[in-house]
Amino acid sequence: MNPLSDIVTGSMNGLREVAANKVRTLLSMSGIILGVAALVTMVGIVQGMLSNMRVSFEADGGILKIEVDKKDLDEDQQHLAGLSPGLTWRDIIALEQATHLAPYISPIVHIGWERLAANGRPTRAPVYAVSPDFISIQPREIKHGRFISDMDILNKSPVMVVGSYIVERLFNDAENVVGEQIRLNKQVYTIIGQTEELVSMMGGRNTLRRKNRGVFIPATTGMSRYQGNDSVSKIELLARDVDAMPDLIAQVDNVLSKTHRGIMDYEILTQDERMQEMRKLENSFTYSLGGIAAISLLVGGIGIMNVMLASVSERIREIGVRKAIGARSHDISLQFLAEAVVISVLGGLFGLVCSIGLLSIARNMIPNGEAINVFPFTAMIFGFIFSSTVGLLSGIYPALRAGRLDPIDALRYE
Amino acid sequence: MIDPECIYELQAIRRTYEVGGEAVHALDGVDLQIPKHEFMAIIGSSGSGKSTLMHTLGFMDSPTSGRMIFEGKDVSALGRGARAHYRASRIGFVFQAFNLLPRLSILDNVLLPLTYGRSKLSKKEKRERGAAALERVGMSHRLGHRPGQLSGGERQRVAIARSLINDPSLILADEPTGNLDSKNRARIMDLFDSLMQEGITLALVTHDEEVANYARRRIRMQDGKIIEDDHG
Repeated sequence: MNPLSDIVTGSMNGLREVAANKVRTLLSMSGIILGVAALVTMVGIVQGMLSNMRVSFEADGGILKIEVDKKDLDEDQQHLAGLSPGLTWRDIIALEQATHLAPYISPIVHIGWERLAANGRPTRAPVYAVSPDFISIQPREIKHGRFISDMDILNKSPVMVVGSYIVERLFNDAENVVGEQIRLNKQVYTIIGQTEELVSMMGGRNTLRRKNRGVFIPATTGMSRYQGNDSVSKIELLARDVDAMPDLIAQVDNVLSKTHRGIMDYEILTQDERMQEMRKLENSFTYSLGGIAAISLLVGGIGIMNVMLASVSERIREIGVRKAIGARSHDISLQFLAEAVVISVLGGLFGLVCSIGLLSIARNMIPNGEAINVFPFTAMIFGFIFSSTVGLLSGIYPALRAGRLDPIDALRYE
Repeated sequence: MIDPECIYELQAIRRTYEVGGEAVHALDGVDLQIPKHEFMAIIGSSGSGKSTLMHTLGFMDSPTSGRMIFEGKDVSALGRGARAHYRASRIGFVFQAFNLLPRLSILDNVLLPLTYGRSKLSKKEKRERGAAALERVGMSHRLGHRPGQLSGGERQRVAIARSLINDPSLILADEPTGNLDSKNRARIMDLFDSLMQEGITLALVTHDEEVANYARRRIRMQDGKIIEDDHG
């Protein structure tokens, strides 16, 4: 009559058959269930890991960041070592004057893992001496007060910007600690700013926790109080945009080779490598997961085909009866196809349910697993569509075989 | 000449099979007329061609040659789809082994041909029709049962109800009492007899002379030919 009602009839017959053979259906589904569950679970885990990496990458300054690090001299320049001042505050000034391609430039002076105390409570935290641009390179929100200013640099002020860790450990998690005094080793600093806690909002625990521990003081304060010279540990620049990066790198190299008198005791690093590394990892995960998924769903599909073929031979007589009372070939084919689709769709759904369970377990067991999304929507949709398609494809051959049976032979079959 | 009162008219029907490179003439020139309201038995030993004749009459098979007129239409060379359509709408089958589908209820078994007959009836109309068909065979008290819960005789009555559901022009019964004891055999034959009175046309294939004696007309087959056509 019309194809739609044929499909409805076929599907109803298929569903009835599935309902009548629950155990067999479940067994034949198991391949699809495992395939979908494995696929979605692994994609979910990998996505979590990658998003962890991406979040910490962005918090470090992202793709636009250029770092200038100290480097050991090549052998042919060893004898010149004494002639270069190394990375110094003067490099910062020279860079600021020479390039417009980097709106933000900051030195980082690693003061070290120092003792901090307030309210009679001590703790240890990494102390960095930086300039005002730092907060634009490694972005943080200021919750209260302000970040280090040009005046602080000029005056070598004893001021400090703290993160959530210090507030929690030394100030009882007070709402606002601006204006409070804090000791860095023996010296007293005034807290001028408090940064918002950095959180990678992927799950229960914060994967950016270590970044909330560091404290910042003005670069000049650090240099004068802790090292007595103007050398810096490294310089970080943020490029205006991606297109400006090649020129900026050349400019930085030019400026520094002048200030360092041609002595290559520095190296210019970009985030390119880290980015490529991430991309490579992402690709290799995608391909290996794709392969595993394809194989397991293929196996699932073979399982369904096997069961459907068995089901056809088991019901040859039924096929004969149905044909004798007027079923056409495609009525029979549709019935078996519908059965295969029902099996694979149900299997896919069960697989998705399993994957949610497995992902919850993974979240709790894998270190840094908090970034794992228990409900990776895209992967789930993909897994479901893939499994249904596999079911449909593996049902075609048995269905055609059933439809082609001759009614006379089928009725005679014992 | 086509007799309007004639359901079937067969002229020189042949059905030849190839078996191991050798031609087997299962039907070897059969001429036969089946008028409306006929109750006939096709008798013959195995291999006589009676089953092939039944399959041909039931649109399960097409003749190799010859002319076949069904209700005024030439149906000698129909395709598979067209034959399925005739089976669904014009023919009722009753089998020796009942052949009810074990997973379906009695009512659903009876309604099964409607699914394939492209019936435009509503669900309710279908149910009513199924119930009426079961009423005709005296099985209306067991609509929701499964075939497995019924005795052989009861199952065959359900199968007969199934064959009636589409108001077929011709009911073909292949050894319908072959799996039944003598008591049930008599009941089924009485049922056929009363359905005959109500106006159905029935062709019965059997090798059982006793069963054949219920029929008004007996056709005896041998080697693919009708050797006797007894209207007594």
